[in-house]
Amino acid sequence: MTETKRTVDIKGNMYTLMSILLHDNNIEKITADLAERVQQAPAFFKNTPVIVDFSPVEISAGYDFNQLFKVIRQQQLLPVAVRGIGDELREKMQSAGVPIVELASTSNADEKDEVTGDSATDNNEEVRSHNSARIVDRPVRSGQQCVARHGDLILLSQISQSAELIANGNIHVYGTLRGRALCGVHGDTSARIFCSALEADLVSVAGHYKVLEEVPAEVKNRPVQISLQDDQLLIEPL
Amino acid sequence: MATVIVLTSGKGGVGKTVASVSVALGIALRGKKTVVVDLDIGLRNIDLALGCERRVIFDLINVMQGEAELKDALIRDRHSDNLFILPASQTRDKDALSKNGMAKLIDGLQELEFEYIIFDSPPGLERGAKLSLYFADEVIFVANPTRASLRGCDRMLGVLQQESKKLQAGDGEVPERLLINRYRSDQSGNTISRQQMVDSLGIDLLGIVPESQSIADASESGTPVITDKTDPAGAAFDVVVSRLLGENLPVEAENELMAGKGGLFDKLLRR
Repeated sequence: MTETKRTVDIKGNMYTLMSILLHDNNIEKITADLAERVQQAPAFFKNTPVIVDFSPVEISAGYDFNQLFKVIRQQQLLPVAVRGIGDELREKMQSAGVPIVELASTSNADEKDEVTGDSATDNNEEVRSHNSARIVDRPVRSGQQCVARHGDLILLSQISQSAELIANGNIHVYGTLRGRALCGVHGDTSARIFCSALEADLVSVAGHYKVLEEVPAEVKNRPVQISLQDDQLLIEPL
Repeated sequence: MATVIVLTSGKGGVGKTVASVSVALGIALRGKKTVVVDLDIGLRNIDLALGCERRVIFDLINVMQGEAELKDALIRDRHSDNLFILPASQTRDKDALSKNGMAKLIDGLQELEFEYIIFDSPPGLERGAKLSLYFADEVIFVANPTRASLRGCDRMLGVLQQESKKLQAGDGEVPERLLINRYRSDQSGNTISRQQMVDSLGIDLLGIVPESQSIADASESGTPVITDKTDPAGAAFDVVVSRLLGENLPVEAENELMAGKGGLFDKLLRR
């Protein structure tokens, strides 16, 4: 029974991180807008790690990242990584030691670039995209959590109260959905939740959540879908 | 091969012990050699429910730790020659239970040619509960018509999925059925209806036992309620035993059973 005790474990974990989505690359404008947003709830944002998301804007290779990070830190936010940057910037970031994260909603083209290989690649891609959905055919019970890290979560049975469903992609429930369901947890705002009957306590799409103290009468005991439209959760009958 | 039936619940006080002794005695009265094992270490009560508290010499933990022979610890029930009782220890700690000990116990009971092993599990997530679910061939979830009790059962259903040796090995199914206890025959007296309970857990209904003073009286006197089939609760447990032994009684019949006169109770009594 000699077991050497490890000093290190490497584990996969899921965290919810806030991101700063940039719609303009003008530092002065960003500075003013960011200050205004943070002022609304300074305590809430204090020392919060954030990802700086450049995907909506065009950024030139000469962009002054250091200045931008400084502005963000001045608001007591802690930039921990960036995303949504082009190839030439990628190298610059990497050499500066800034971590780059690529999240699920990044375009497929980017992903393919990372896959090195030949004609077999396409087949693998296909296999992978099929495997990315997780199918669960047993009920998910109170106290249990069911996670699909890479895509859709498909549940063929019922979900109990105080059970938790978490998916990067869509969530499909072919039974009554009680408990909590969180889809698009990596920020995919196009993710949706589908269920044959809605009795959930909480539903969330890409971090926009809604506590359902009571299920709205017009969707009660009907198949529904829940989606995000203009930052509002929409629950509609199917 | 003996069939291991576990009675479990999330919350205590829903009537697991009452159900365990009635189910065990009911099976024994139909000629099957049966043993009921009390797993609530430190809080023994099955001896009281069967009226053998003065005959307890050795207990489950004595057997597991090799301090007593299994056949010496088994107590023959006074209501049926086919029923034996293995009491829990009142003095030991519940940590004395082990997976190895349980496996040996079940092997020992097989050798003594028991056909049914009924485990009266402690409530909740205790070791005794998890261990019994590990070995279960079939599980009866006992619940009252309350939301707390239902949630407890739901949690235990999840624990069964994680613990069960059979389910984890993909070695067949472990039937999981619901026994509703302390149900009031007037619908309005229940917080939750029968159908709501079945729907929310999504498992089959094994039976419904009505709330009855006779259950408390029977436990006090050490004679399980199933011995009195003129009693609504006793008759209800008899239906449960029939279903457990594979008889296909329709669930709809229980509506009549609850209705009383002219219903299933009357039919049962006339048999």
